[in-house]
Amino acid sequence: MTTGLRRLPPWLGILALCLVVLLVPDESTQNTLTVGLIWALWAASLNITWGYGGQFSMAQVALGGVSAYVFVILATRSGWPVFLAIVAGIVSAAVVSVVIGYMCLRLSGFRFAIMTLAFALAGVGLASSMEITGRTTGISAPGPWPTLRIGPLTWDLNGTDGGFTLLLLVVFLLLTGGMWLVLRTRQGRALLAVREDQLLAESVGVAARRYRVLAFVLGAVAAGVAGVCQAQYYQFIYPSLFSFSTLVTVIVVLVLGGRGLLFGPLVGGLLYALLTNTLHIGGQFEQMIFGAAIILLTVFARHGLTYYLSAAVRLVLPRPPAEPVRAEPGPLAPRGGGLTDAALLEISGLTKAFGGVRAVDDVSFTVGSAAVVGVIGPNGAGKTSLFNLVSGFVRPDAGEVRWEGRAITGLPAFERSRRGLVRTFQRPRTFPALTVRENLVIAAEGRPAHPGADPVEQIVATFGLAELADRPASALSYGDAKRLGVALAVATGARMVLLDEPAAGLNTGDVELLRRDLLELRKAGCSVLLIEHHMELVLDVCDEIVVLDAGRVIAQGTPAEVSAHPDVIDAYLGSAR
Amino acid sequence: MIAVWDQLPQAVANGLLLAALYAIVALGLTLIFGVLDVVNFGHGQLVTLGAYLVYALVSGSFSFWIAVPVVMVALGLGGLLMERFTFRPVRSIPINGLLVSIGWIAIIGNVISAVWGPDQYNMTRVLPGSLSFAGLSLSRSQLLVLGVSIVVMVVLSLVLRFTSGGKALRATAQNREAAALVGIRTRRLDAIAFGVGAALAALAGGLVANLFPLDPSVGDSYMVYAFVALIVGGAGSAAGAVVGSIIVGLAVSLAQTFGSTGVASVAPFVVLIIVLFFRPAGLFRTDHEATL
Repeated sequence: MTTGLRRLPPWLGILALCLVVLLVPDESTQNTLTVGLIWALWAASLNITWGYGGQFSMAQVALGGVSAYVFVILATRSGWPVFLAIVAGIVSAAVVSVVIGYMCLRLSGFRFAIMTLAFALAGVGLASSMEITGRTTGISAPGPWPTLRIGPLTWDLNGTDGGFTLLLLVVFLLLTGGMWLVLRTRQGRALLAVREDQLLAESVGVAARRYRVLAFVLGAVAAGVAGVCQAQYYQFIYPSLFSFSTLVTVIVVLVLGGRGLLFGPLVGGLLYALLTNTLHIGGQFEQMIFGAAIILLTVFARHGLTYYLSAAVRLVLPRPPAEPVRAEPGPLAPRGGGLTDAALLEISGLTKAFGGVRAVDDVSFTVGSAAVVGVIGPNGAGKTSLFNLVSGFVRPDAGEVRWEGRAITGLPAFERSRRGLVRTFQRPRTFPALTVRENLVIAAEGRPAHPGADPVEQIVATFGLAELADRPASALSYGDAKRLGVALAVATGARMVLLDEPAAGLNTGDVELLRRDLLELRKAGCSVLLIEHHMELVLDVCDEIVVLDAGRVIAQGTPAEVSAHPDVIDAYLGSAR
Repeated sequence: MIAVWDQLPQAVANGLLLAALYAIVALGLTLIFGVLDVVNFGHGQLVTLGAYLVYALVSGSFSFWIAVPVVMVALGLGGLLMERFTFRPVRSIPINGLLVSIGWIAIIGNVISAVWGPDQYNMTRVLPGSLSFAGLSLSRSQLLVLGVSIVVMVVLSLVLRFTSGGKALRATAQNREAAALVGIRTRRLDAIAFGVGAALAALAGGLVANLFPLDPSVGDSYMVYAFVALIVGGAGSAAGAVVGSIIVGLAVSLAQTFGSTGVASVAPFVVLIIVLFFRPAGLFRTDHEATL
């Protein structure tokens, strides 16, 4: 029952807000609420793209501007019905965001921020110089909206009686509810995965670029809604309404309220409006105070108020211990295909140069099904580069990779992962803010439905992660994070996993666990391509070993053949042997 | 067509003179970004503040030649403190540095508005008048900018290349952990880089005050265009910042001459969008293999 109680505070808050909107007709209260809700809508837009999508977009306000201008121009000059013009405005913000989103795809972090800012400033410049947008002066909105009639009920959407405020509240709740639903779907989880770690997301089969554009477009839709509401509220729009200073306020509101939290924008928006409307500090001093607030919040309270509020609620109403899910360690059941004699992975003539260095130079070998193949060689021999080429994270200069008989050289990493060719990373990568179980759920998402035990619980049991399953991945020790990395690859239902130094930095006990896991994988029909310096492990578990030196294959064969090969002894094992 | 060719040399010359100013701002930004990984959006406000302070000193009958170094030192010290107390605490998460700098925009910008108001001010210019050279008309105060800009580039590259402090700075920019391991005091360098960056912003501000009337947003466009230059050039390299500045300066000047003010305000962004579309890491940065 406590779970229900824990959900209560936000809903009580919303209910109280509705009552205030409907029952307190006082103009200044209504005004505060209206302004606060408009800020909340803007912040919700940034929250979607940044808080959930992980992309700090500085174009949100300008995208809202696109929507506002389209709405106003269509409704006033082209005589479109108001509701149609609103929809057209929001749709055009979404369309523009798709274009910008694709153009900014290859950028991340601050480059993404500045590229989006460049688009925003160019847009503001454009609006200031075009006749149809009224240049710097601006244009008037189409006036009051019609009254909504549903049976005997009438809803004056402009309402001095709080009709407009209520509309804003309903719109915000619809947006937030929509986002809540999205986050509960596979797509929503993929969105968070991309926010947490784009490369890892791709390696477990998430089409990261698509989700980045999705986060941008969903944010743009929310921005479009905010833009229309802003235009309707002010009844007049001009370019600087959608400029940098508005963006700064939106950032303040979101940081104040808490990013990546559904009600963060609402808390931030209302608080901001309350502070500005009641303190009446006005103009410059107000802005100075909010500037200082951004800095102080970032330094001392970077999670935002909502986070601390909900932490307080959690303290009072602690989460009941989760029902432990029992699952026996069992067969890992990779996706279909089964044992065949045909080679699973064929690499031929693979070559990649970085500048003048040939990191991978004409490498060819094949890996069969249910085989464990080791890739060894001194540091800098090109082992990880080879993995990058095989897993699709880097494009080769020449050569071909064939998987299950088909060429996959041009396929992106996530496609390869979906076909059962999955890599891990040398430095352990996880989705840090999500729990171990959520990490595994995301990885297992692409797996074909399999009758029997829940694959996630089975992997939790097999990899001995049961104790850690509900902890955030960021809290794991190095060794546990590494084990989770391997577990994530296996959770996808891979037919072959590429493990990049899984034993590095592990203690003897953990290496023993790893040895057991590797043999278990082979028994389950999963092939392993293993980069490892731990020679004892390699010689023990591998059916075949490929030795690289300076990008080239210098030897290949069974462990016995390779360890007797003179070139190998010379280049790698040390001639003292 | 003939008119176009007649206007071209002057437009190019104007573009290069603009570029000289952008380069000073962009070099300061590069220094801060290279060492601290912080994108300092507040840099434009530092330019504006520098301009107003130089103006204030010159109106208080100080010589321009004394006022500029004094303001550089003052803002340089201010930069040290900004780094120490607001950027250092958030340095583990780079995007938070960006948030802090946005906070500084609001603070500095509004302090300027509160103290000086929205009115325009004109400083008594040093080096008035202009020179004619091969059919070009170049104002002497703009040539001063060019000269100062070249001196800054030369001094900066000599310091970075040959002094131990400069080498330590470059080492920190390339690999902070490794630099710390070999005994470089990286935190001190963070503060120094920020201070020097702020001093360069103040220098640019002083030069701006000697060129244009002052209003509270006078530095904004320099910050934005210097950012565009920085990224076009491939953030983190000084040579890239200079080349980027030249490209942006030419884009603005050519768009002003052959287009309109509206076109000129959009031109640098169009250049940025085109460059980043084809070279996501900028012109001067070879794409390293992502660390996997």
